[in-house]
Amino acid sequence: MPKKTFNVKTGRVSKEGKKVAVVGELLKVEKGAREYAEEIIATVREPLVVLDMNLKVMLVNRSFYQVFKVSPKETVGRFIYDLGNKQWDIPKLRRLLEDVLPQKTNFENYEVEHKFEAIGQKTMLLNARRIPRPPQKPRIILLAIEDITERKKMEQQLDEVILASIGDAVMACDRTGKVILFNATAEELTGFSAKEVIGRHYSQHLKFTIEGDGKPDKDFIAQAMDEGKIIVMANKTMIIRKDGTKMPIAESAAPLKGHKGQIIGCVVVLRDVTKEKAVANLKDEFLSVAAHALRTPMTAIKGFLDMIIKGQVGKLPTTKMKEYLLLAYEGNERMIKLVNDLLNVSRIEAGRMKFDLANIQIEKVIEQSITELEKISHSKGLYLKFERPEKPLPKIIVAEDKVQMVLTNIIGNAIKYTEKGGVKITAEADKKLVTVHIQDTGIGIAKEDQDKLFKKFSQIGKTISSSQKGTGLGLYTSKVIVEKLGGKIWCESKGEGKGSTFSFSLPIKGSPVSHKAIIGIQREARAHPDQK
Amino acid sequence: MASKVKILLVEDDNLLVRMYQDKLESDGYEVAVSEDGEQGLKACKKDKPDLVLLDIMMPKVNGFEMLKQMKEDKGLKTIPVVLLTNLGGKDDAQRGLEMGAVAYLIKSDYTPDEIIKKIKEILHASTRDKEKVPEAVEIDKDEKEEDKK
Repeated sequence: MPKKTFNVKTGRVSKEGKKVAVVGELLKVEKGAREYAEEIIATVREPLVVLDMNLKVMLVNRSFYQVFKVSPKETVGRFIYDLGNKQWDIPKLRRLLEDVLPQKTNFENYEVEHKFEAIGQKTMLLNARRIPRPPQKPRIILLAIEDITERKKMEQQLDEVILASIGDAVMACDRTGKVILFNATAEELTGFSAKEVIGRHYSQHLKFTIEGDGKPDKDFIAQAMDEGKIIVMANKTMIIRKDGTKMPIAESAAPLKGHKGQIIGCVVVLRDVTKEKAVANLKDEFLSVAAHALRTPMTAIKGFLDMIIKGQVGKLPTTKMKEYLLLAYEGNERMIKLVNDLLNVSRIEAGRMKFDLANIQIEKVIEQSITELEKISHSKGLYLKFERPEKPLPKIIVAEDKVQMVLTNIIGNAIKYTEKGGVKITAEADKKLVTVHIQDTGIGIAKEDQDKLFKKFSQIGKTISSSQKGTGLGLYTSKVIVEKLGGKIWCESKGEGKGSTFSFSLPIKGSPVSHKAIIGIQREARAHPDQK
Repeated sequence: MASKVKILLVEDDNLLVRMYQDKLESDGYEVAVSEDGEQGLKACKKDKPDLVLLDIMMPKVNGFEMLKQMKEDKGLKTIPVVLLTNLGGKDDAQRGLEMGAVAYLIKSDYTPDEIIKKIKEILHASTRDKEKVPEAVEIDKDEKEEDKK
């Protein structure tokens, strides 16, 4: 078979191997410049080859001889593919030199792996460049070969060591779901050995269920690959181990992307959260027991103090006495509020807060909240009004008691932080959302504090007296509730002393949560068959 | 009113019993106290109270069990039952309403005066609608049976 020859001028490979004079050309280069170039080439530490456009070796440096264990005799003037008993006839190299280089002036960092007789398996990084030369003069090709065999080995070992010693279970699969990696922790966590799992579809061994109901969890690995994004599962997933036992885990699946961005597989990280779960449960249990034990005596204190203060069991001898009893009453109220808020937070965080969804009219809930808080606003001499929209708003699918909790929290806050003027509530709807605004003329919120507002235990600015101190949980709870209902909550204030407006919006169709929604509505529809 | 209105308080915590009892009595009600559901049912049958204030978490027979047994007893099912709950027990309260309680009061949210007010409202409504009460219960039952189908 005739040798293929690459013609730099035409950019084509001719079968007959049309010769293009080049050596002579190179010799014409000024002697000084040539020596200068040769010096540079000799100094470079990585193997370097200068080729003419017929891909014959014009020059190589010392490093090339050292790395590939060849002599100058076997090298210079030879066709690149013929070097070292045709060891350099590597398909990938052919492709690069013959297909890529004619189109582009250079290629960079092409990894080539090849087994050489003399030196064994090598991984090389190839960089090539067509050297620009004056027109009419034949051009030459500079090929740099970096031997990265050792580095590769180290990287691989490092990966292996990291994967083996890491505390989390790591599993990787290709796009078809075939497992290609399963580390020691994964073996320990699942009970399956890497041998059993690797090469098979992950779903044959890795089975997940949702804590509590025992239903299979959704396939988050497939989801990560289909959607091309990282999926982190809620902390309610259990893995079914080889021996059939279930273990609570935290998990995430990240898609692996090829260099064109296409999904080529998935990495899954699993962590045993048995201990964390146990601690969380203990905390919840402790909180609920403590809260219950605290609330009963606090309720009794509230009742007795109320009767004494109102003079129902006899007249109080001094006004000081009445004042102090009022303070005691207030302190007790705060404790009740704190315990209730803590319980709510703990219930929300443990996912135990029940949302009974139904189709409700928000105006009604707003009015109920106002009735509940009117007494306090009147006692402070504030107005508390609801500017009803002209047309009734569309009904929304929410948990009424939870929305009321949010409203009383926000309106209660507004009253608490307002001394003059009052609180105005408005509501509006567009096609998707019902939005409620609670606007006060109170102390306002500095810009820098507006982000902190909805965080747990955050209390910002100065409260006017200690009795106004809240628990720092109300707005946090409100935010979590609104978000669980698929809505948003935010606040606006022009700054301190300029009042603030808190708003929240809820989707009319309800959040896409669960079948509970439908059940709730059905129940309502049966109770009021005339309403649709 | 010719005779005093009789209220049965079923509550296991001494402090609360003392508070509610004192308040109710000083407002002119006749109060009987039971410490658990078992005693409560006996007292119900014997005294036929006009209203039952019923705590949920109690030893032996709890509030739910007592409510259930009351609703199954022809002689007791028309007595209005008001549940005394804690805020955390709101879901329980909902269950109680579905079981036939007329109302629930979150103990820590109400002052004794407010509780009296609530009781008066309920008693007023129940004497006014006395004829209607059993009917409503029947309709409820039918609906539930339909659900099962």
